Amino acid sequence: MEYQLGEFEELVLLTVAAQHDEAYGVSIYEFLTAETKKKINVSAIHVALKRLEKKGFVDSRFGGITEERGGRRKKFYIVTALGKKVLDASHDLRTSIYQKIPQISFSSI
Amino acid sequence: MSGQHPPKWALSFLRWYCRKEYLDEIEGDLFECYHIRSKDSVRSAKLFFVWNVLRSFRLINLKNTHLTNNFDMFRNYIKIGYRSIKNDWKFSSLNIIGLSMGLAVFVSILLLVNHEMTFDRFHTKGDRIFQVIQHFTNPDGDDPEIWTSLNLSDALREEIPMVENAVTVHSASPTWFEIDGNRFFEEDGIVAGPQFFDLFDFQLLQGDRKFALADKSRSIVISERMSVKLFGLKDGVLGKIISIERYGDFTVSGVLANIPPNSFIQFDYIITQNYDMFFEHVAPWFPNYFNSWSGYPAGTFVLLKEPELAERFQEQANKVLERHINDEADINPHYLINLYDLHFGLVGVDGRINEYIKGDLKQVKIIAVIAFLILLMACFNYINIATSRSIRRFKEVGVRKSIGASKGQLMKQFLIEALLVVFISFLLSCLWIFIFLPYLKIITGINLEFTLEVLVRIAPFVVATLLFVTFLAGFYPTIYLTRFSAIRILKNMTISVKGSATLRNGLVIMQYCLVLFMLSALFIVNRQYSFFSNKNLGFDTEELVIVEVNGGGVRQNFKTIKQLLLDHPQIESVTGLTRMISGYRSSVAINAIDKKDPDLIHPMRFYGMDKDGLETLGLELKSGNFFQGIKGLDSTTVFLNEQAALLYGGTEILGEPIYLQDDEGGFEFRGTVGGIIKDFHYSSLHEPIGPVIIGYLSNPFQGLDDIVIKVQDENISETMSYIEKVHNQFDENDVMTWEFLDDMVQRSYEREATFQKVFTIASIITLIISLLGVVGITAYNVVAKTKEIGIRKVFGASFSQILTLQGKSLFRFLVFASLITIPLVALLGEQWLNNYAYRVNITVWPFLLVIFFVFLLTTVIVLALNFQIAKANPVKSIRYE
Repeated sequence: MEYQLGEFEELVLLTVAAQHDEAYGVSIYEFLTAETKKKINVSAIHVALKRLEKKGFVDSRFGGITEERGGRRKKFYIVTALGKKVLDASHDLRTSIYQKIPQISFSSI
Repeated sequence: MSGQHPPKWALSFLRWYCRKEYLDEIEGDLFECYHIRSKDSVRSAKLFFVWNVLRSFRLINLKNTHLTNNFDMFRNYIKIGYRSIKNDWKFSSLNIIGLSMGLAVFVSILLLVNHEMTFDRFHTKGDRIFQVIQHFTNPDGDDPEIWTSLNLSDALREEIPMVENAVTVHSASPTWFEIDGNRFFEEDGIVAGPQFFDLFDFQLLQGDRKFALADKSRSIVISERMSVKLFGLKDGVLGKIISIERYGDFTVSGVLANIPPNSFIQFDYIITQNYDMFFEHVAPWFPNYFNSWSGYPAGTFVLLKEPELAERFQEQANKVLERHINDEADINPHYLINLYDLHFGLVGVDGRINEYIKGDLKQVKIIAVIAFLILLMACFNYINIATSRSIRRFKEVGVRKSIGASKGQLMKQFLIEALLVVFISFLLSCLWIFIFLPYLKIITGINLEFTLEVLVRIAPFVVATLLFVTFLAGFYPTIYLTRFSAIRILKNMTISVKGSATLRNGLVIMQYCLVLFMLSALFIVNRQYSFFSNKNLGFDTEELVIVEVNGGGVRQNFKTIKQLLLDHPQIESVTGLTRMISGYRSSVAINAIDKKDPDLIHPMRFYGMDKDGLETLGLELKSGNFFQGIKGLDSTTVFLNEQAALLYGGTEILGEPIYLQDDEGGFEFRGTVGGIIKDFHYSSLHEPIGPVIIGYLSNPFQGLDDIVIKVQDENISETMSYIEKVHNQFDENDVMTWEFLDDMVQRSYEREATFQKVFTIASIITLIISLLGVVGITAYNVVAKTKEIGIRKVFGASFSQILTLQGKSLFRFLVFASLITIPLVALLGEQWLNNYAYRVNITVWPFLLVIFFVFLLTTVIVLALNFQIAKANPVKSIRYE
């Protein structure tokens, strides 16, 4: 594959794609902590988002101001066509390898 | 929304560091997280907010300030610096080698000073721990000692409220350890009271600090090193039994981390105070002395409640002593010296708990000064070479200035370049230190370590030194390089370097001064030392073996031993002495008194020997006859040395009676003067010869203590093992301690020997650094005057004329430096030599020799560097550039 994508970056990118047009820092954070059951720091998500944006996998726009945010705007992220392609490629790769697993019964192990 | 807000300071911190374009997103998200969390708990939400702010402090989020630009410039400076070092590698290596040697010397001295100054600092209660000093007074004057009564520590602890704790410590006799039939001879032990670990912080790896040395137990605490030696194990030795000769069986109750070399008290093992067996087997009479208030066998350490209370100790201790000692005449003042001060502060105080290397603040200071001078010289080299090479950099400075570099930026650049050189030198100096540290250990006798850990500890000083050197070496070249305006530099490329010449010349003169100083000082120290080593002491020092008498068996059977020894073909003669005549150990002080005039007292040294003493030691009899071998007659015959005879009008005293008294004014002894012995140096050459009385071996003052054996040179080792066999026949407990007399005599001059070594090394380094400087300056002259030399050659200058021209200024500097240095060295040398009773005189020859030597080296350098150009075809040199 042409583009490098870290494991955590891939998770963030997937979330951005899943929460189409509604993804921003906190929403991704809440979604990922709920899904992975792991402790994740917001700043890690910020860094991942910036890297993804630099690589051109996501695009961003500023949203409205809410009171909970202390008068700060939301920054919404949306997956780009390139980002989608990268996700597809990653998914295909995993699926094709997964299907090569022989049909042995694992229950006895 | 609730009224609660996230911590303001965290918010302002975030706003301070975060990029503007990211602030909306990050701050907003953090606020939202805070808002969600604060529904559960405001406190945890606040903590979480702070945590998030800290976690967001990442390079990617940081404000884009001019910092990055600076960083780029910094990188450029280093790159250019690196290139200029590389392009000019000949001169750079001169610089780097010189600086690295200077730094190596300086860092080693830092290590030494660090070691000396951190003595006992690892004891956390050290500021409150004091050693008790008992101040005796005897006819020779004041005599402070560390020895006190064994009962003192208990009395102090119980009777003086300000004493929180006190402990008795003294050394254990060197003795045999037996474990499962294996015997080990152990020398460095101490006997300590149960409070030992309450005062001192020696690290106990295994065992319990409270009970390891419990009262009335028979316990031994050993060091890890000893544990490995005795048992081959580091762990699991607790509870094992060690049978110690003279002391009895002891159970291992603890294992200590090895004692740091910078501890005042040095030992390998501690045993509890349990003397019963010791008294029973070795010295039945001992308890009376040991346990009484009039015996002084032990050192006492006290822990005060407050350090300031030490002043009041003497008065309070006196009251305690008055309670326990009936006779007031027996009470001596007791005062305190702080534990941290013991290493340097015990000068003049007698007694040490085990051997340890004496602290000598003066010596440390002298070495530090020398190291600083060497470092200074290395800096001079840098200044010299950097300014003389500066012509190459002017173009660069001009271009940088015209592009818009400020003077400050340029200065920064050249200082960074200097720092780069200093840093490379430092790395090289670490290598030097690794290679040469073992030699420093031999010189100073101190086990210095150069590990990362030590380096970290002295890191602030090292960094300070590096910065200092950078500044000192780099400052002038920097100022010099950056002072001209861009136009002047770029318009006429030839800027005269004359301005810097005065400074450069001055520095070269100073370097010459230092070299001359070190070399001629070395000469003087050397001459005094060899004078000490070779001076005729008035007795033989060759082929004599001194055997110390430690056991009663040897003392009682001396006659038999002597006979046995004489049976050996390689042994020429044997004599017994009350104390060997040498500076290493002092003899008994006695007083010669006058029957008619009780006020007329002559203090003298007393040595006893048997009838073979004169011959064995090679002493010379001036008049009279030596011992006849008739016991009744010999035991009342005494001999005076010339100094003593002088007190009695010379030879008139022959055959007259003389009355002697021990220095406590006890009994009287009547002897008849049988002869006068030529003066001999019974003490070290630091002291003048005083009056001495030689009496018979069996005398009322002192018993047999040393056996002197004259052996022949061949088969020494076989002879020694024979002597040892005979010795062990009569003393099973002790390992025979023996020494050759010449070694014993040399030991008095250890300080001079150290001085000599320090000066030798310092002068070699000084010489190398300054020669590097001379090479630098000569090489510069070659480059600067290439054209001039070419033109001169065209006009017919000869090879030697050109060499003279090139060397002239250096030789002038050398003469100038000699005129400054020689009077100074002569003055300081005279002062130093005046410390000695027997000394050499300063003559002019060493100076001339040293100057000639330096002159020769300078000539060789000038010749070598100018050879090519002076020989070359002038057309080439004129076309040069």
